[in-house]
Amino acid sequence: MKQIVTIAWKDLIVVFRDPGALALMLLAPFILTLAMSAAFGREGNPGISDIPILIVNHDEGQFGDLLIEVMTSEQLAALVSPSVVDDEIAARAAVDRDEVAAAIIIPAGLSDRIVPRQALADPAPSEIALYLNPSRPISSGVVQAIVSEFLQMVNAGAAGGQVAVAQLIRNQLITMQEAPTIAQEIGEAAGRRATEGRLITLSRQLDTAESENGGFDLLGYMAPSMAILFLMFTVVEGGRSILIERDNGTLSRMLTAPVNAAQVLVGKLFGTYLTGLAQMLILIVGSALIFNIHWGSTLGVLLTILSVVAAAAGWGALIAAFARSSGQANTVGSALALVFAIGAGNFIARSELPDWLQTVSFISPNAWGLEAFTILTAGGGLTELWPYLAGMWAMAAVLFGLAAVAFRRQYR
Amino acid sequence: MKKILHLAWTDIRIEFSERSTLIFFLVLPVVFTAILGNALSGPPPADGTDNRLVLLLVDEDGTELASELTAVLHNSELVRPVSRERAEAERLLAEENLPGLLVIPAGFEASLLAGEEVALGLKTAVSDNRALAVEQAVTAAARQVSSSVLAALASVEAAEQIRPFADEAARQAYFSVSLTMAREQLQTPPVVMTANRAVAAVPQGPGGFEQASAGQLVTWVLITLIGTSAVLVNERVGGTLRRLLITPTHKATLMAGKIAGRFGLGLLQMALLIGVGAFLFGVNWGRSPAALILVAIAFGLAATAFGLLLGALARTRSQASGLTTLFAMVLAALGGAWWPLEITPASYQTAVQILPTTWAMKGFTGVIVRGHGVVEVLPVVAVLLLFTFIFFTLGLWRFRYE
Repeated sequence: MKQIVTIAWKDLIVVFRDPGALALMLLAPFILTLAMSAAFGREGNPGISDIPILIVNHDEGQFGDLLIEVMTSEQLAALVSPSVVDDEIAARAAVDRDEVAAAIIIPAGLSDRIVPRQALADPAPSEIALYLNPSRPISSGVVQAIVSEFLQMVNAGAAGGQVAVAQLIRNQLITMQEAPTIAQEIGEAAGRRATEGRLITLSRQLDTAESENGGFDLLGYMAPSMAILFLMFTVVEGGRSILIERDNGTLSRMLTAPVNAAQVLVGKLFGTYLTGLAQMLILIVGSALIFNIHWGSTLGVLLTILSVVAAAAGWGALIAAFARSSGQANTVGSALALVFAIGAGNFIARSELPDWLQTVSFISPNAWGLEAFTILTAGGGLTELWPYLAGMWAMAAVLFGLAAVAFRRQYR
Repeated sequence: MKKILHLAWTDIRIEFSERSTLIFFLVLPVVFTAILGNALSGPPPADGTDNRLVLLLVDEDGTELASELTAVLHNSELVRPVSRERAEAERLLAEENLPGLLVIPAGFEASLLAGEEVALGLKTAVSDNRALAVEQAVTAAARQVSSSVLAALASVEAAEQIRPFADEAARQAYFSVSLTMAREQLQTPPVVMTANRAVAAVPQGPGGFEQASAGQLVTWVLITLIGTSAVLVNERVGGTLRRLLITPTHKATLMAGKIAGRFGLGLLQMALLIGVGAFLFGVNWGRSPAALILVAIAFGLAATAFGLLLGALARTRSQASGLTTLFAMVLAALGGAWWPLEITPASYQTAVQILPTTWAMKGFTGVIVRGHGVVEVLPVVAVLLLFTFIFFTLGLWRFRYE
């Protein structure tokens, strides 16, 4: 036992004295988590704000002004940053140069078409033209949605005016002669009222677990995601070190000491486990302290870390047992680490992956670990956690078992 | 020159003598592009199968207007409403990983007819893009139903101002007729919106693949090219660089050969990934081949020069390998290769202008999305060449052959 611990401790020290290994194990996941935090904020909401827009108003009536009023309103102040300009060609050129997200061209005669002063000879609809920037599809989508909402309200107001007058005439409440004046009054009032408020609103709430814990915490998801991704690189490197020792002849030199092959192998694998454990502990505790992430149950976090490192180390052992060279172990291991990461949701939320991929990804420790951490951040306890812990230990048992069989054939 | 090309070609051949090279060179980038492209694209267009997001619907009102709202939701491109009883819907939301549950409350129609604001209850199980899509679909449907109701209410109010209704039944009858007329009116609205994308002539592929194809190209080519550092450190640590120096070959020729080999490898990888993006994922890479080649060469040079700099700074294989992965992933993520920069705060967008990956993404997406030609990509190419000059100068200054 002493020999096993000595070998494991030696491997742990070697790794933690190597700046290159530390960069990959600790620095990379921290920097990537920080980058995601800077890009999306804690709640994971896209940071769209101050969308630059140019508005060209050719209309001389109230509705052109009303659209500008809506775009420059207090309500939209954080979302859009509109400027009113006169030159339509210059506005379109600014979109072409990627300086703004969109140009809104309000046509001449817009107000007259909404509330006609007299019978229109040409009843064709008036067209508000949006010139959208293809490099900013999300921002231009937001602009499109705002203008679309404005149009629905204005059209509702116009329809209100027309229907009101038609009904008043039909019910003989006004005469045909009074109709134009009254239609204009009603139309303007209805248009204004329609833009002032919504009749049907949406009360959105998050389902139980997330809402009880203050909603989704992007860092609570991304910090363990990045930690598990780089844990996989660590265990692959740990497994590879066995093959390097074999190829360099240091393994056979170690066997001249009073230890047997099994003790050396177990020591090396235990070293990988300890290294992974130290890495995960530093990353998870560091994330909690630096980013103020609330993991919930401390015991749950500890058990999850112990379990996910065991499952990951199992994969490291299996790769080392079956690889023919350290180069092959490196290639297969790194590829597997990246495939596990993209398939299990280390780069994008698991819920955004296709259902079949979410199921298949349970072949990886990444999926089990992420599910467990998600339960913890949502305030779950050991009752909800234990199936995932059991899953990871079962994975570790199977993988270490297979690796033991392969090692026995090689080193007996 | 012949020696440089010979050295470069030898390195490329050695790289491809390992079949596993193809995994990082082509297989993994394609897998990543497929998964990320699909995730960024949202629900695929209708192809006979209904891929819309399931929206659990509980109608506690059961009136005509509630049915109208349901009908509008059925026509949505984003969601597919599935009606259930409240308890069953709550259970499904919790257990089946469905994105949302909409409750049309009792008194929905009565409140609307009275001109009172009414709130629909939307419960979402997650805070991801699916929840946002569901919210968007419900808001659009609610707006559509509101429009005709608002118009009908305006009509009722106008009549009431002239002469009050005899009773509630008369008011209701007047409202019903007005509502029918309003719906007809709204079929031909007086104002419409036309939306055109700049450079409309550029045919677009499916949504998220433009971002994913360009982003994954930058990420994986960066891994290959920053890998120049590992190649140089391997040669130095293994002593082969020293041994080659006793042959009648100048140091500069040796370096140029090694760097050219890696650069050639990067160009080859870019060509393959662009081909896969165009033919497999329908991304419009071919709008301006000359502009694309310029951006690709400039990006390749900048990334290779950065690899040289890291190769000069790293002392061991392990350091070179760790720093390659660290910088490739961090630079790609920060520079907009993993997510579009437009969804990040303005300060973030300004800060990442100091990264070559930001400019590479700008160049590639400019060609794909905006159809940029040679003249338009020249500023991007100039900035990438400036990065090349800085990294290359620093790399050569710090590089040691032994």
